[in-house]
Amino acid sequence: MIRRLVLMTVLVATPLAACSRRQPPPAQQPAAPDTAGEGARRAAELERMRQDSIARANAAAEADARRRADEATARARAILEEMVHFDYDESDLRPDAQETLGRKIPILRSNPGLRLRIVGHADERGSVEYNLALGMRRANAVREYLAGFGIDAARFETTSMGEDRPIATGGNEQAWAQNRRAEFVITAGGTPLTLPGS
Amino acid sequence: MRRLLLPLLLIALAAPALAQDPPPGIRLSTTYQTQHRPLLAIRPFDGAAPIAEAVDSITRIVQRDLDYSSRFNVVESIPESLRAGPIDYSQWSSLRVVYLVTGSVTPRADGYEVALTVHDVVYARVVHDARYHLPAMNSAAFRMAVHALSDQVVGSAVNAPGSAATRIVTTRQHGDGNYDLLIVDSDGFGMRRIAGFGGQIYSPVWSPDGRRILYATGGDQWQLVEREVATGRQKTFAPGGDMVMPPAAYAPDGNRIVLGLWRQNGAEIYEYDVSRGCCLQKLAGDRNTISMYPVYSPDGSQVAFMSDRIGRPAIYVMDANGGGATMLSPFVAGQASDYAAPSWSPTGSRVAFHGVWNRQMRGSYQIMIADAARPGAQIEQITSRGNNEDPSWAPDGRNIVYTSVGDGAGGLYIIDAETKSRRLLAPGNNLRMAEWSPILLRASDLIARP
Repeated sequence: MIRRLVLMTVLVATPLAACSRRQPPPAQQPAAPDTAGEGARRAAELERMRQDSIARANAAAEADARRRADEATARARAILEEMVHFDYDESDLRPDAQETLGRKIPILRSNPGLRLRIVGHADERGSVEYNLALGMRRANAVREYLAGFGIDAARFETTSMGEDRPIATGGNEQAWAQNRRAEFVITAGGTPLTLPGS
Repeated sequence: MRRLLLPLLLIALAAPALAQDPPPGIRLSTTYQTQHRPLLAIRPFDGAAPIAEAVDSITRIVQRDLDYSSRFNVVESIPESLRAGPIDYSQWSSLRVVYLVTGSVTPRADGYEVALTVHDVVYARVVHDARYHLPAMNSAAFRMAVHALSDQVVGSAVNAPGSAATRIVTTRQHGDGNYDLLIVDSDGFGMRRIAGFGGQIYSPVWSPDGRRILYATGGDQWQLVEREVATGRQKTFAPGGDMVMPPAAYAPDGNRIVLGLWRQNGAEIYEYDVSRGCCLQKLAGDRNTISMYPVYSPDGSQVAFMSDRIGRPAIYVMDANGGGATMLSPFVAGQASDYAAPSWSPTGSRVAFHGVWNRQMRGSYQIMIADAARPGAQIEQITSRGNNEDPSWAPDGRNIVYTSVGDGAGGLYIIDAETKSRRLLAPGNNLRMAEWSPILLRASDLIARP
C-alpha cells in the first residue's frame, strides 16, 4: 500500500518538477524593486526546491525497490535454474537432488504464473536412443516429485536431450556424474519473480 | 592425482570383466572363418579405345562389388593369356575358377550398352547373358547402374540377393552435439550430406521402396521427419504422446510405421499410419518401463523391440498386433546385461542387436545375432573388441553395417555375418546410427530394349 502511494506521488511530482526546471528565468524588472513581488518569487523558489527533493527521494526509493525486486528475481531464478544430478542409469532423486528441488517449491508456490521446462540429460555410456528415454525418465521423475508437493504438473513441460549436451568432457566418472542431470528453463512468468521470505 | 587414478582404476576393473568368457547362451565367434567360397574371375570388359576409361571403371567397380558381396573369392589378377580372345572353359577350370564374368561395352548417344555374360565354368555353360543400357560415366547415376549389374552377377551365379546397388544412411555427431544426415554408397563412394539444421538428428531408416528416409529431429520438441530422397521434399509429424522416442521403422507396406512414444511415465510402442496420418495404436508398453526400438520382421507378422521391463534393457519379439512377447537376448541370472537396437534380417528370422552381458562391460557393446524362430537358443557374438553399436542388415541378409570405435580406425564397418571378415566403409568416430537401404536399382530396369 505504502509502495503504491509513493509510486503515485512520484508519478505526479515528476512532471511538475520537470516543468518547473524548464521554466525560463523571470524577465528583469526595469522598475524599482517590488518587495511584494520579490517575496512571492522567493516562496516559489523554495517550493520548487522542496518539490525537487521529494522527487529525488521518491526516485531513489523507487530505484531501491526496483533493485531489490530485481535481486529477488535473480535469486529466485538462480534457485529455479539450479540443476539436479542422478546416479548411473538411475532416475531416482538422490537426497541432494531432493534438497535442490525443495528450494524451488516455495518459489513455484508464490509465482503461480511460472512455467518450467525440465530437460533430462544422460552421460555418454549406454545406447544413444535409450539415453534419450533415460533423460525423459529423469525429467519426469523431477516433475512427479514437484507435483507431489501440490504444484500443478501442467506447469512443467518435460523433454530430453539424451547424451548430446554434456557439460563436462573427459570420459571419466567425474565428468559422467556432472552430465547425468536435469536442467530447468523458465518458459513463462519469469519476470518479475517474488522470493518468499524477502 | 585423483583424476589420474580414477581412469586407471576403471581400466583395472574393466580388464578382467572383458577377459571373462561369455556366459552360457552366448557363443563367441569372431575369428575369421574361411568358409568355402567359389572362385570367381572377371575378365576385363571389351570396349573401343575412346571409351576405355568407362570400360575400365565398369570392370573395376564390378570386381570390387563382387569381392564385397562376400559370396566369392575374387581372382585378383587374370593371366595375360586369358585376358582376351575366345573363352576356353578348360583353361579357366584349370585355375579352379568356378564363375567367370565377361562383358563388352559399346558407346551410345547417352551412355553405354553393356553386354554382360556370366559363365559357370564347372558346367561349361552360360548362366546369364543380357544387354543393358548404362548412363554416361559423368552421370550421377553411372555407379549405381554398374552396382546393379554386380547384383545381377550374384543372382545369376549363386541365386542369392546382392547388396551392391544400395546406400547407407547415417548421422554424424559434431562436437557441439548437433548432427548431419549423410548418405554413402555401399562401396564407400559418394558420401554426401543431405540434411542438418543445427539440432539432433536420430535413427534414420529407409522406406521399403528406398525412396524415403524417416528420421527424428530433436531440440525443444522431438518430431519425425519423412524425406523424399530424390526431391528433398519432407513432411514432419508428431503422432502423439509427450515425446517421440526414435527409432521408428516401416512396415513392409511402406505406409505404416512402428515407433516409440513417451506417454506419462514410460516409453511405449505404437503403430501409426504415415501415409494417412492417422490410426495410432498401442502395441506394447507397461507403466514405468521403457519400450522402444521396434522393427518389423520382413513379412510384417512380428515386431522385435527393446524393453527394460525386467529392470534392464533386453530384446523381445512379439506378434505385430502386440501379443505374445518372448525374450530373444541372452538372459543370465545375476548379470546386469544391456541390449538394444535390434535389426531384423531381410531374408529370414535372424535378429542382430548390440549389447553387453555384464554391466562392467558397458561402453564396449558387441554385435550379436539371435534366431527369432528359436528364442532361447544360443546367441552368436560376432565382434569382441572396442565398442560396436547399431547393426543394420544389408538386403543380402549376410552383411551388416555397424558403428565401431576402439578396434582399429573408428567409423562405419561392414562385417560378413558368415565369415566375420570386415571392412571399413567410412572413417569417423562421430558416425552413428547407420541404416542399410533396400536394393535401389535392379539390372532388369536397365535391360536394353530394341
